[in-house]
Amino acid sequence: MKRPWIVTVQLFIVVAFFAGWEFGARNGVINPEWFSPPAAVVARLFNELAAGTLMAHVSTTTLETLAGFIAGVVGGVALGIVLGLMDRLREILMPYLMAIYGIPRPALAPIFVLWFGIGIFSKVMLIFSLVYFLIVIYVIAGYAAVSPSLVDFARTNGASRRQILSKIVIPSVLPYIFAGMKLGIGLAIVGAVVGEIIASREGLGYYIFQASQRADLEGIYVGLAALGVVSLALVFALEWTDRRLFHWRREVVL
Amino acid sequence: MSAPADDEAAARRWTIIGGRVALGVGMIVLWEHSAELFGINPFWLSRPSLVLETAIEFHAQGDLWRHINATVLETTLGLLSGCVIGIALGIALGSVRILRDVFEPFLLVANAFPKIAMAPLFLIWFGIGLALKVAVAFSLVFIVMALSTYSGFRMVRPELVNNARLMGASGTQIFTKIVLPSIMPWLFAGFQVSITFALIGAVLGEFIAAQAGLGFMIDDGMASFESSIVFLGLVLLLIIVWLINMTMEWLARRLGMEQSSATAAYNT
Repeated sequence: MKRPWIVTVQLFIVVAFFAGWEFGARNGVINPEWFSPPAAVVARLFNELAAGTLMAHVSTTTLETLAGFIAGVVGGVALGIVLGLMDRLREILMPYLMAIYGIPRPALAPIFVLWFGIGIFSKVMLIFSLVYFLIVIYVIAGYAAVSPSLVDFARTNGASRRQILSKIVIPSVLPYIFAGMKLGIGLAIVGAVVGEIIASREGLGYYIFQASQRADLEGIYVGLAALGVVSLALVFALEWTDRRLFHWRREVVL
Repeated sequence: MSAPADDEAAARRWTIIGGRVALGVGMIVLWEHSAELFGINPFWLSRPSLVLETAIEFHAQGDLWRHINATVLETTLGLLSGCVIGIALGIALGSVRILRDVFEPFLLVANAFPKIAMAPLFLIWFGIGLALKVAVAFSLVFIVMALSTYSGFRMVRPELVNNARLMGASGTQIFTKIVLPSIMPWLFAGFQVSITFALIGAVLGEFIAAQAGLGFMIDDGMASFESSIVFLGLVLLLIIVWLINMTMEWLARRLGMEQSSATAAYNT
């Protein structure tokens, strides 16, 4: 059980942190070329929200992230199921999948810009590629974790193929898909931001990078704050769903 | 046991190995002849032979190692600094209960935040030099190391510690004999993730601003529409990752740490 005083301390730390930052930045205690006062950042944030400029970037980044993420999950689950059923093909492809999985994939962003231009589509494709292979690996790991003795037991007791699938295989694989999705959403946001930083005309990554090119410190913090809200909302929404659905499950181990 | 079963297993193994080799060779051949076979302009995909040519050209100009060394140096510095600070933080959070309870949510939020977006801020803070890339790599590594260190602490079995204490073990003994062995697999797993993260951080830092490095090469190739340079950078990056993974696997075997269960969700 969480003790209430801990929450108090945490709130206190947050307040003290921002108060110290505000005070320090206003009085030159901390380098004002590094930190703009939070109050100024918030004021700027509201200005940009009122002007409608920020929301366009927020929605671009959210759209890219969700489109690439959903496509990657659907595609990854499809290939994962095929490979889960076809043993030999899986074993042939596995080292290649692991090799692709091991590539520092955010570094691939320039290739996607080269192929698909600087628009939204290149970011969606980048994110798709980031999420797709992750999900494939997790689905395969989920298959491997299906308890064979459970399947045998069900079969000797006359369970149909369909029953085995719906009662044993799917419930064991689903938590893995979700574990992959939780990692994938983080990667998806990273992909969107990296793609927008290196070549784009819209999105929060572009917004932050442009602010930095103008040495507009407040702008950078506004962009980071907006990105923080978007990414924490997406990450914790998935986390919450996962907890609600799979509170019973064992630890997912790759 | 029986001969037919053995034959079948052997046949199966050869199908798999043969399939793997055929797929690898096939992909390189298809890549090389993608222009003739599929009508894909080498402008998009380059060719293995062109990439090799580019590599030789870069080497002749003395640029190949300059780029590799820059990235390796940035990665190493980011990795080391991130490990030192991250492990220190992890130990503090892991061993002091109150600190853990208070700071855990902050750490989880920091993990969920796409830290790579901080790179433009680091550009203002540290300029366009080495410090920028080290800072990006550091920001990715230190959270991973902090989280994995303190996750390791949670795996320490309290009954073991209590038993040892009851039998008169000193604090140092408890740390070296019980705590350290339990958190080692976690440290190791965290370190494994951290190396790749440090490399990603260095490369992405180079995307932001650089005069050398593999990320610079890739970004420069993109900007000048030279796909051979982009692919050369990526291939070199892949070779580095592959070397790192081989070394870590070898190390894991030597230290008796088979692929530990110590994996968790870390975010770049």
